[in-house]
Amino acid sequence: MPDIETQLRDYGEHLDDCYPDVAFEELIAEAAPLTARRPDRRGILVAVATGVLILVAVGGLSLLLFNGESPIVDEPVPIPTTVPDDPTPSTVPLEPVEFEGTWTSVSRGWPPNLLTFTQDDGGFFTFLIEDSGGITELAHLCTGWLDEIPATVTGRAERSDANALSVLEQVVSCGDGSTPPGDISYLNETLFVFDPASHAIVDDGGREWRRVVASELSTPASAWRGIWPQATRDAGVEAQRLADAGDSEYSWQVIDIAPETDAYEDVATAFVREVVGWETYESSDGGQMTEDESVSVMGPGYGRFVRCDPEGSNPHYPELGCAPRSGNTFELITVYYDNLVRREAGGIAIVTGWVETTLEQDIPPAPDEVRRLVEAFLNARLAGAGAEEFISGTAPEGGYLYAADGDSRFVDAELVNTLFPGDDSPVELETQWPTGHYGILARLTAEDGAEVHEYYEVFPADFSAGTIRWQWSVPAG
Amino acid sequence: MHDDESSVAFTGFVREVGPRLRQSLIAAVGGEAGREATAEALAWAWENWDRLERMHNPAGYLYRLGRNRGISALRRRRPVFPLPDRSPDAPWVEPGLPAALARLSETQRVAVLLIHSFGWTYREVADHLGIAAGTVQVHVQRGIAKLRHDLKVDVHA
Repeated sequence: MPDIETQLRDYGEHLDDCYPDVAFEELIAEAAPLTARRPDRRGILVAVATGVLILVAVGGLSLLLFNGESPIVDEPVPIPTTVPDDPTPSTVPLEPVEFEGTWTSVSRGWPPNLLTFTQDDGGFFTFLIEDSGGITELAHLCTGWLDEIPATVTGRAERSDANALSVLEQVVSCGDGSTPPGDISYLNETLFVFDPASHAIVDDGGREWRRVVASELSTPASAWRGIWPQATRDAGVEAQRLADAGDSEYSWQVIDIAPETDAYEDVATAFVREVVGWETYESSDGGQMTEDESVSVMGPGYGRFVRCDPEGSNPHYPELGCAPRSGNTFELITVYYDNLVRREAGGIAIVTGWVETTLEQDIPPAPDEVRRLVEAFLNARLAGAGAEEFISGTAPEGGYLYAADGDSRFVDAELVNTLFPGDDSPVELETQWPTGHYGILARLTAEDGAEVHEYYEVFPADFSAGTIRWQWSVPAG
Repeated sequence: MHDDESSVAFTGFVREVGPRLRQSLIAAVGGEAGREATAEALAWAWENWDRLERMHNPAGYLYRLGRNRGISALRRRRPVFPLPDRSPDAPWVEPGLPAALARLSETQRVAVLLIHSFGWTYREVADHLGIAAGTVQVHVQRGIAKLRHDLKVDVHA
């Protein structure tokens, strides 16, 4: 039997074969939806810095930050601004969007941040973005990208039109007192655009922000941020001491870093159950916002939970075992936590805040109907005509819809197990919550015996259009 | 939109960074999710190239971005790694190896896979993750020890 190292080496080659590099065309297909939902920046950024101003500003910042030594600046560094000498708010349309208030980022894949707008008497907006240490540009700015720390951005903005705010100036403050190490002048190009269709703000980084309807926000980062179970620093220190002594009243808060468990799960779920009062819930997702590599202890993190209707059923996702209490809309709560007293092994986790929003689950098409659609697509390929009509987005490179490499026509096709392509047991299609899409693997055989694996995805909207998304192919075996 | 010059620069960036980004994201969040996260991260890079090319460590940033999206995309917390099929050409691995990899802590798994499966050097992993090479070594040692324990492999065998 090969040793572990040899198995790992062989397994790496297997992974490379199974998951080849992403083709450029695939990237463009991925990017297209992003482009479609981004606001049009042209015409809005007319007032943004001229080239001369940018050069002067960037040059000045560079001199400030990179004087040949590590920058040591105690105060937050203002980002070069393009504020005119006599700032005057731009013309405000008749029915401007109400930006004031607190918004939370909800884009899938982004940890939730908070964005608060306040309008001053002069018609300008001040804003505050609170990043509790997530993997965002703010934390990236403060630390280079690793070991994200809490960070805030304060700034000023003005209306560009009824639905948009353009940023005039911003200041990044890093939670550890450090200074953003790189060129951050590009942040002044930031736009916040309200999308009337979704009632959300979209910034030009692609993040979506929704108004916080009902929230209990943590105290400012400069103060004790813990809210539960210990609401004060003294209580937190005492709880840590008792946890260290093995007091079970507090030791349950200690982070469990065993690989089989998820750090902070206890304090987060206990908070949802005991404080928020949800009897039944399901973990949606979560993540660690930083990780202390030296001691393998998780740092600040978050968990998202959806509330379940204990009496309800979710026919669209029976395996989830959780039904929304209203239609297909889940109540969603994001719980922040951190080991505030001691960020090392044995440190207790304390909840620092939470935000309630909602999550829509998409209704998946029936698996049998999806299977029929995919099989129709495969049959068209074997027949040699009509397969193009089934594809949304990118088609296979090189015209290999009907033939394998070498122009050998496909003569057979079958669905195979996604995880174990060599497993010949019947394939059961499974939808993914909450997007309602299917990931499907097929094996096509050409007349010369060549086999390829192809991977498709079928989202509800694709299914309605009678199409599938062709994702990739790789020689089988 | 992108002009020709930035398109050429981006293409070169993808050629240079793409494979390593893919391998590291596969190690972090699993096979299929890792590849999808790579595509999403590079698509984001394409959309934000003017911003990204000015960043201090664009590859590292994309790794963190892709990792986060990959984790969020997982229905459950544990990543999924495929078991090789039973064909004669397929590599032989302990049937429990993919699951054991999934049970490692993320840092251990990334370090183990990048070093032992994808052939990175300790220095390369350290630079990519932004940690000390000695720290990478610790994670690799712990990860290998955990794999041996889970797979019941005698360390002296």
